[in-house]
Amino acid sequence: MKKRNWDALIYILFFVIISFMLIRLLISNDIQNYVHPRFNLYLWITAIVLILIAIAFIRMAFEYKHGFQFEIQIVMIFVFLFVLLFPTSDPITTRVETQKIATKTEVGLLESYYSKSEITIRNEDYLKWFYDLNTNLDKYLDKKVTYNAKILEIHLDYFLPIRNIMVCCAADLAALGIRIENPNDITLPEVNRWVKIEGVIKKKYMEQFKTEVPYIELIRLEEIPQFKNEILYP
Amino acid sequence: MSSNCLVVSGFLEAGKTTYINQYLSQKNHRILILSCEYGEVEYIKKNNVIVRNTKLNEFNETLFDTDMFDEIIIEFNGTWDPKCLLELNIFKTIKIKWIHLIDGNTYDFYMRNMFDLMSVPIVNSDEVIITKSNNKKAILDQIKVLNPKVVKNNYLWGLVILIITLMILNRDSLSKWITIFSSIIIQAIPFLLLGVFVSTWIQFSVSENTIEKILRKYPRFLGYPIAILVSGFLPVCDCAMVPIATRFAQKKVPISQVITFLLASTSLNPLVLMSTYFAFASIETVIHRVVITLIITLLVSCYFILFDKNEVFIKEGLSLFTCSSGYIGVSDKKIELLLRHAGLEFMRLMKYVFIGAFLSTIIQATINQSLIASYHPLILFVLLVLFSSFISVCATSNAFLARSLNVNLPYWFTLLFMCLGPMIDIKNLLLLKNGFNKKFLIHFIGSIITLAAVMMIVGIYL
Repeated sequence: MKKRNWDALIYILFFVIISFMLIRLLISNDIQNYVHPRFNLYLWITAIVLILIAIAFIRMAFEYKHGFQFEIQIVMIFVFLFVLLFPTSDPITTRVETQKIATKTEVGLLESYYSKSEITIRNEDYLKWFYDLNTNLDKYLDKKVTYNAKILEIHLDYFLPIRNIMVCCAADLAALGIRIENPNDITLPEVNRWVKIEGVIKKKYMEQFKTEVPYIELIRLEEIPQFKNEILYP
Repeated sequence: MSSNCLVVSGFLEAGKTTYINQYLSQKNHRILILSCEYGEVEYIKKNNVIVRNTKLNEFNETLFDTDMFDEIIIEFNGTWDPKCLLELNIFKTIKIKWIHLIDGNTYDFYMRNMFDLMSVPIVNSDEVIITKSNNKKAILDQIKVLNPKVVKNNYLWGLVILIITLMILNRDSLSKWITIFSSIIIQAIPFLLLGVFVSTWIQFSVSENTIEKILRKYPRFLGYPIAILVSGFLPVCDCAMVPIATRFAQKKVPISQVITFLLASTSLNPLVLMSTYFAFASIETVIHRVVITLIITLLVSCYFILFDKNEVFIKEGLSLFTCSSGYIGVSDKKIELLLRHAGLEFMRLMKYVFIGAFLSTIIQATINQSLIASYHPLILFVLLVLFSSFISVCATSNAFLARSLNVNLPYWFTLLFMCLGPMIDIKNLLLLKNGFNKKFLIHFIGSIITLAAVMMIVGIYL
């Protein structure tokens, strides 16, 4: 074994692996399951700069040096490889919660909801509608609504279709959905399937929230193919 | 046939010959000593020891009679390039153990003036021995940046092994944890890298003397806004601020101004503001962060005005080599050195990001939101202090950790975590300990934590 600078080799490996991981995620567009798309440009730049750093270490690897600083970098390389080998393509959803997320609301959009008796919610408008429904509930009462969502939970007396919202990264992924009751006993698909929901908006007082909450009485339900990018970014 | 070779290096009068004599007195096998310089101390005379003197241009393989001796000891000249030794073919078969001796009394002076020359043997050695000094631990603490082997601490290893085992054991939710864990890391990387580059660039180009002059030029009360402004224009990572602030204090800039400078930089820094905005996607959070930091900064600075002018807070000690993060080799191209420095710095901080991301993933997995509300405020406060000092990582990236904590913990908690994190971060406090005395640290940490407690109470009732 020649007495070269093995540390530098480890550094090169470290930077190349992180860069490779980022580029792979960016090209396959899996990155959107991890972080908000506003990071994409920065991540591209980062990947390139990391490669440049790796190049800067190449000459150092040929210097003579005794010993090997068996340090944490190697462990980090393993962790990155580990993350690389077990990529997750499905976004995770476990919690249902209502976080306060600031959204820009177009006045015209909501006005058009108020004036019609039948409304269809576009995918990109789901979030705005969801918040407005919770704040201006009375304006939506008894309206017929149509929207797409993924079924998260099925209970005896209701089920919960949701959309995933990401403000910053996968760590703050939140599932937002409206409780749906099924008085006509329409057959439901399994959990995690995507459905188009048609129903009438109602309200009732619920003890656990200590307030009136909206719910939807189901009229029709149709199974639809899974969305390619199922996360919504406010 | 000799199978091992002991290299003893060090500068003049570091105690090489004394060390070798001690070593020889315990050995009875045939030993060849290759001496590369003439010291003041003579080797002890023993029958089993032969000494040869050599010069740099004569140093080659013919000197090594490996068949005749059981062991070869090289008293290596500290100023020689290790290449002349390491390139010899003979070391393909013989194992080297390299011990470097440092004279503790001259260490600081040499390190300040001949950093490159001093660092090369340190980087190459397996063991570093400090002679003639009663401040050995402080010196070793500085050297371990260049060569971690000199200090035995493998706690990080343990932690990472724990990460991997936990991930493997928890197979059901494995992919979920990996996603959360890697998402925190992925979003922190660009900001970490940007911060590292800017601070490296500033270290390479802006001199501290300019800042110091500005701070000293203005009379007492104008000095505070100036200190705040200056810290805002210095987008350096907070651990690079500590050595700068220490040097200001050593150069007699008023202590309260130094504190203003140090604390204000933890939030006013443009990079920090940007990363906070990216993490929370709301201007309000950025404003909250700045306001809280400024309140803490001003109150702590005011607290230190109360002390007598002649109160001593600084410690006469070793000079600090800022955020030096390791051996970056030699190169004639400045850009190459800059990239290497940034790379090592990045790697050093990545360790903390790893640990921080891991812990916050664990916290997300274990802490139940409905439970938090029932926690006693005292427990929350202990959590806040612990989180701030151990998992806050770096001012530029702790916003992302805070964001992930925000899922389970109340908003005021995450906000205080972001502001306090860089102030009472354990890495920064250890750096501060190098330059300031115990009294300062007690008052400094005490006042910050007291303020945090007051703010927490306000936070709960708002």
